[in-house]
Amino acid sequence: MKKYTITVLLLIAAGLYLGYLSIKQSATIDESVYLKTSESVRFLKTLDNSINLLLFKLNYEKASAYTTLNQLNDSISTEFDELRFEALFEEIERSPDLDAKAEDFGDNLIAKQRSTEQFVEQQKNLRALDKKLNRLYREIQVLIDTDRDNQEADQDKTSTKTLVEDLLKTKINFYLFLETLSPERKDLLNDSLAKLASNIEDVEFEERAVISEYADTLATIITTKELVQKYFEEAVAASTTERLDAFEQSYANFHNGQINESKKFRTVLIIYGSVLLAILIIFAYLLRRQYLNLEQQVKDRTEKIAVAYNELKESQEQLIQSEKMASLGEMVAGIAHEINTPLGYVNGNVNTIQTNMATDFDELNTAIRMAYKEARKPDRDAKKLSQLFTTVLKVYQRIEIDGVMDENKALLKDSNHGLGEISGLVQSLKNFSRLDRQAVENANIHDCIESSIKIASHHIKQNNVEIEKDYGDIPEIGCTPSKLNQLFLNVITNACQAMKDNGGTLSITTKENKEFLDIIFTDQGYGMDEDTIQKMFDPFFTTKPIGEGTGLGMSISYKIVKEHKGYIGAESKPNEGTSILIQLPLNADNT
Amino acid sequence: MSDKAQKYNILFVDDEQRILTSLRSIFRREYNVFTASGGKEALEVLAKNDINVIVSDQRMPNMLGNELLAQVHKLYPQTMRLLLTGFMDKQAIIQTINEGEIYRFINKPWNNESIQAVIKEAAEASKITISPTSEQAITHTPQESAAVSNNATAVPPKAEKKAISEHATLIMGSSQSLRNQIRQVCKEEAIPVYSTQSIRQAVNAIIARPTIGLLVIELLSNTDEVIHTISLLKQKRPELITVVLADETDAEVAVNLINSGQVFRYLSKPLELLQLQKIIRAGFERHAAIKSNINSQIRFKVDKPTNKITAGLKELFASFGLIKKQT
Repeated sequence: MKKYTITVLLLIAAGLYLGYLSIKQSATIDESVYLKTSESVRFLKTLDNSINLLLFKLNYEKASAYTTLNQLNDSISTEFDELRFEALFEEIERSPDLDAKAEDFGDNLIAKQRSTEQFVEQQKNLRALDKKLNRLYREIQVLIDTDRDNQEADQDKTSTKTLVEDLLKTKINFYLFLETLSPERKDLLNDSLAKLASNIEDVEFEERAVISEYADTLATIITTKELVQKYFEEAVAASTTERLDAFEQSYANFHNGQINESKKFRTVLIIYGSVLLAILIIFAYLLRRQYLNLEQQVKDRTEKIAVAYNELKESQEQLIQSEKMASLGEMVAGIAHEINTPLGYVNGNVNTIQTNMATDFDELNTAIRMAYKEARKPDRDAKKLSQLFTTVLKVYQRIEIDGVMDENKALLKDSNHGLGEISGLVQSLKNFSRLDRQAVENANIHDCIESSIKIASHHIKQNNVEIEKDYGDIPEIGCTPSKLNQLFLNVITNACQAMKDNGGTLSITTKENKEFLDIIFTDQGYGMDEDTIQKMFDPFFTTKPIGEGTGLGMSISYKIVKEHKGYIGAESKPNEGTSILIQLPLNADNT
Repeated sequence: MSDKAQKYNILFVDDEQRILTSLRSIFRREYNVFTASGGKEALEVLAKNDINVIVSDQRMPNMLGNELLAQVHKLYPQTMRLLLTGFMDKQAIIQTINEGEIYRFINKPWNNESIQAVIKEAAEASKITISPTSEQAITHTPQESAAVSNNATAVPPKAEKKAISEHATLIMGSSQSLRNQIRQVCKEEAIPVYSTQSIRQAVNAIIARPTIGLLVIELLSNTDEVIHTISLLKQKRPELITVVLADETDAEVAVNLINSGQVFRYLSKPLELLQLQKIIRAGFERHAAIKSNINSQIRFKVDKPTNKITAGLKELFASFGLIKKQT
């Protein structure tokens, strides 16, 4: 039983723990978060692409969507921050790889934005320089045209022609350079510029100043252009896309990991469930088996109890029988002793009288007969007759002196008394058993008590008990006298035994009490305490030493009273005596 | 009417006056009859008169017959004691044997002739003095009792131990623990012990060894045989003291053991060693007393067994010449 309890408790504990884990797990695995994140990452990618596209546009076309670029940059920052610090905060916290990837992307994004900013700035500069260059070029053009008008006469003037050529060449080289930004072309451009600078001495001052400025501007443009290119390249080179991919991959890994874990957990849960089920099935099986066992056991026990009950009943009947036999034996022994005493002296007396008759009286008889014979003789001898009469007289005198006559008389009287005693005892035995009478009859309770007293007489004598009777004027009642005799004998015997040490008086009172007949036996014996009174009618309860009483006497008495629809009770004080009250209904049919 | 001085004094004790009257009328011619209606009165009579035989009823108020006889045994060992009983009170009967060392049990109602015969024997036996056993003389120290015993049996004091060791004990019985107990006691008293398993062996041993003075018999199922054996042996060897042990004592057996066997003790097992020692000592004292004064055996005369002796037993005794062979 303890084993089962422990097993069940363990299972419950495991179940609770798994439940707790399951709640926690399901909180972390949220498919919507994954979807949202994926969307966000896709959005970031789109933004990144847009930025790159815009950068290209800005770099290679004349577009000037700087505001859009800024907006895009803001968007991408916001989106990423959102993703990093809101949507995936916990995941990033938990996964170092994801954290590194996010950090990487963040750093790159910042670097890219910085490059982009630089790029935009330089681009703006370049545009301004471009305008300036164009303006300067137009000025030069104007100057050259004016110059050309002024020098129409002087067509031979080669310096202007060269200048124009140089300028053109420079311009061509400039565009060529812009096209590729290759060092060769830069060199070519620088060469053109150097040539232009070397030929500038030949032109007029006004022109020279403009051309010089143009050349300077051009040079600045070259540098700026290079810077723009550099930042552009930097910005484009900032491999945000790859990093974003890496981040996405990492997140996907993390997510898969989570899913795997949850799968594992689910497996554990399934195993737990199976184990639980298996154990419950085993328990159910065991319970069923126990139940079946129990049923069998109950059946077995019931049979055993039934057998034991029957045995008990039998042995109780035997005990009651043996109690009856024991009290019968005791009664017979008592009666035998009672009869033996008168029988003893009657027998002795008869023997003695016989002997007396055989000796003294025979002698007297013989003497008388002889004298009588002699007297009747016709020829009687007076002398002989006188002698014979003298003998008769002598014998008679001897008998007289010896007191044999009186003795015989006395012995006969005693014998008569003894025989009376014996027949009285036999009569009371007959009355007591009532075997020759009908079971239920109208009987005088006093007769019952008297015959019980007679039967108990040896108990009464032996314990020096005086009987005091206070009989009321009571009617006959319908009862079973043989049973009532048994009841009274029990009560009287107990009373006598209670007084065995010091003797005493047993007073018996009878009186009519409403519908009942009260019979009260009061002794002056040991008495009983409360406890003993409580138990006195219980079967097998006895205060006598082991082997002296079966403890059934009073229980049988109780039964007899109940059979008569009566009541029996006791009042007692230790060392003062006991009073037994028996109430029998005057009319048993009405009560 | 013979001289009153030559008449024996007998005392009848009963609470029923008519019994006393009846008994008196039987014995008044040959004896001086005293009567008492109770134990106390009887002791008063005993104190004033030299009573030869006391016959007491068992069931009397205040003092039971066995109690009275036990006192008489102690105070007036010379007086022969008989118990008149109408009711088999086992405990009282056993006590009368062991404490009262009674001569006979008389059943109520009695037969005039047999009671006359028994009382005649008892009265005659009462004239023979017998020394009390040391157990009986409890007021004496062992030395004093030895002195008393010596005076009575006229054995010199120093030879007393030797006198006892001249005797031997015979055991008949199967219980090992009992045999060991007896051996232990007898070893201390320097008494040889013989052990037998059957009546034949026991009778054989007693015939062969005149030193055997005490016979301890364990009563098993062969009650009648044992009683007959004791009776026959007692007739042949009146000085043989018999102690009978049984798992459970029985009133009728007890009466027969006394009337036909004059057993010294009838006891239920188990016994304590000290008790056994006392009994064996007292038994040998009694044995020595009877042996020293062969006339005293009539104090322990036995009746012939009431029921028939079995053929086997008769043959056995005939073969030892204890009884005449039937032709």
